[in-house]
Amino acid sequence: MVRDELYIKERFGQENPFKVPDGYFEKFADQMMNQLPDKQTGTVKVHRNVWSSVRPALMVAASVLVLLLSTFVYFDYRNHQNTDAISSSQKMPNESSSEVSVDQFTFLSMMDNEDIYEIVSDN
Amino acid sequence: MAGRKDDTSLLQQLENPKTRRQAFSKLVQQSSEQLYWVIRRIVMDHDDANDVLQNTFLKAWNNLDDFKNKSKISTWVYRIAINESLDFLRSRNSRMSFLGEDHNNVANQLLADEYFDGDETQAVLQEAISKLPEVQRIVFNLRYFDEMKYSEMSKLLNTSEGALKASYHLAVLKITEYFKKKD
Repeated sequence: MVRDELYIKERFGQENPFKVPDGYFEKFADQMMNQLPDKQTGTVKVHRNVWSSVRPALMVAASVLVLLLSTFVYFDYRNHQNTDAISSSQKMPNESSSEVSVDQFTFLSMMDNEDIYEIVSDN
Repeated sequence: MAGRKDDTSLLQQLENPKTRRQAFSKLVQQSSEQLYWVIRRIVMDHDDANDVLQNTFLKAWNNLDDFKNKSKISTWVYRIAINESLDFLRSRNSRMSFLGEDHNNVANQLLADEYFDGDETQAVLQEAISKLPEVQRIVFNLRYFDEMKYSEMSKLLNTSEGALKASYHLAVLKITEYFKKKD
């Protein structure tokens, strides 16, 4: 390898064959600085608002909740129309309507489309 | 030691928004010529070298906050220059391939270039260098023309000294072979 390197050095030398326009380096720094954008005087840190980052997820969750509640209200209303006489006589003492509603809501939230179609077709 | 002190002082000035611009101007003045020649030997054309040099300093300016102080600031800027040169070469090569342009007339182009001062022999050497793979080209230029130590090159290119020596050895072989075929 040393021989090959010597061959190149002896044949071609190590001089720099390139040149630059007159005054190029003298002018370069000023021209370069004129092109640079203004730097901000301080580092601007963007503080993310927690609310703005969770808001989209909350909106989706709220939409789903409204949909489920609407479904529940609709079927609850239909259910009451058909079974009102029976349910009022079977009601346990001290049973609050809100506890019954939560159970129905939970049940409804687990229903799929087939279950819903069955209920609708029964009515 | 004086060099390190200067570097520390420059870094402090760069960190201070009030003195940043002035400090960067100093950095440009101190390093532009050396960087220019490194770039020029890679890209060969003066206008291209000027563009790459400007892009280098622009990138350094825009990314000053990312400088982690793991190396000297000059080494960091040097590294940016090498990467910008490589990006330029790759983009030029793909542009030339797309346009069906010839890679083989580098020597003639150089001889016709008003900013090339060499003779036909040196133009042919540059042509041989232009045919090397990009990284080998850089290693060859740094070692052959700048006589850079492998230890320094290793820090600059983030490559082991062994790999750099192998790269230079291959470059020398290829250039020698190129001339033997031409002869």
